[in-house]
Amino acid sequence: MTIVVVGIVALPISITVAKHVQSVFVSQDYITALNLARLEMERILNTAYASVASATTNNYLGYAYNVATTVTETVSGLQAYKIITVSVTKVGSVTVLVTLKNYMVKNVTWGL
Amino acid sequence: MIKKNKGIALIAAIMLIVFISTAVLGLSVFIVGWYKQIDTDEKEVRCIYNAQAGINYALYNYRVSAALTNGATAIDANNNFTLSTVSGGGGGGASGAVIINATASSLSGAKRTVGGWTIRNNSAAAITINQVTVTWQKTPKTLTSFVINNVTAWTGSIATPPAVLAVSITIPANTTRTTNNKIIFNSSAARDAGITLAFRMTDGTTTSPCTVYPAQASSCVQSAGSLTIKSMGKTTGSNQYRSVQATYNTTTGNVSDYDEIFQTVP
Repeated sequence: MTIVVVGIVALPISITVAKHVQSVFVSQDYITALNLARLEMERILNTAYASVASATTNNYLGYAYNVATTVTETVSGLQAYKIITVSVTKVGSVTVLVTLKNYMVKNVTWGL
Repeated sequence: MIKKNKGIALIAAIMLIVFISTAVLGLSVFIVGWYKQIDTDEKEVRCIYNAQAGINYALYNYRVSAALTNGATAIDANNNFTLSTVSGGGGGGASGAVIINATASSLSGAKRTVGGWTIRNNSAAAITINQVTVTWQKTPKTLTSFVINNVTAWTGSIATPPAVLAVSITIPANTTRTTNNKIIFNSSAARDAGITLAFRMTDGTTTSPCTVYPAQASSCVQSAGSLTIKSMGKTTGSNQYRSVQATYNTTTGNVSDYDEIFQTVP
């Protein structure tokens, strides 16, 4: 009787504990991906307008994550802006963990 | 003795299960909270970049058409920003970039045409004039035509100043319209003590009236204009937001001040 009761209850508890352990690693993925995406976005924002272009970096900075930057430009006469999309995936996975977006306008200087 | 202890294993097992269940439940609550925190952190980062995108978008629109961008704009299905753009400081907005030079203005065409004056867009972005106000002192005299860069921007018949003309004149960045700028009347302007021009831009800002006849000793230079742009970034399905404010100099094309502000926009 004891074995039956313990067996019935232990199964869902075991699954729950396993999920908990798994979630620790998943959350670590999200946190790392978010910070890598921020790092890449800040790097781009400190790059000259003309040099901002699409690129993919595998194993970004030695981490097991790929960072893809997609840049599209909208032009009107001499004026233009670029839409920058930074997406982070884990190496070997196609699931995008984090996506950040920003715009960059041409011919505008920043700072005093 | 054995009979007395019968069932103790079951009770012990149930107690153990209760303890473990409580611990697992507590851990679950902790992990759910942890994930909510991660989700909040991610949205905060996305919101600030969305807000920054809004500033860049407003600057682009202004530089293309001198338009002030307001209201919500979607970046994609998950991200958006809300803008509030106002002209402020100096001559304000696009009008601050205008320089009118009437040092060489003169009369021609039976002294009915005031020409020889120039107008310059002294900024790094195109400006569009949508209204010209002409005043003169000596009447009777009827304004019949207004020409910029050899293009007739307005024709009509206005006998009483001020004459408010609806026009659409675009001057590219850092460009001076030097030739064939004319104010044409139906009779001589020779004895007029002061003919002035004022321009209103599509961003709603207006230059101070500038005397274009008789010829002046110096140009009419407006004060440098500025824009104050507030942008609030949000993500779809969330009330979380982050806002930034930028001050843009319309003459130099420089953002001199950029700060996070802790308020909603507009």
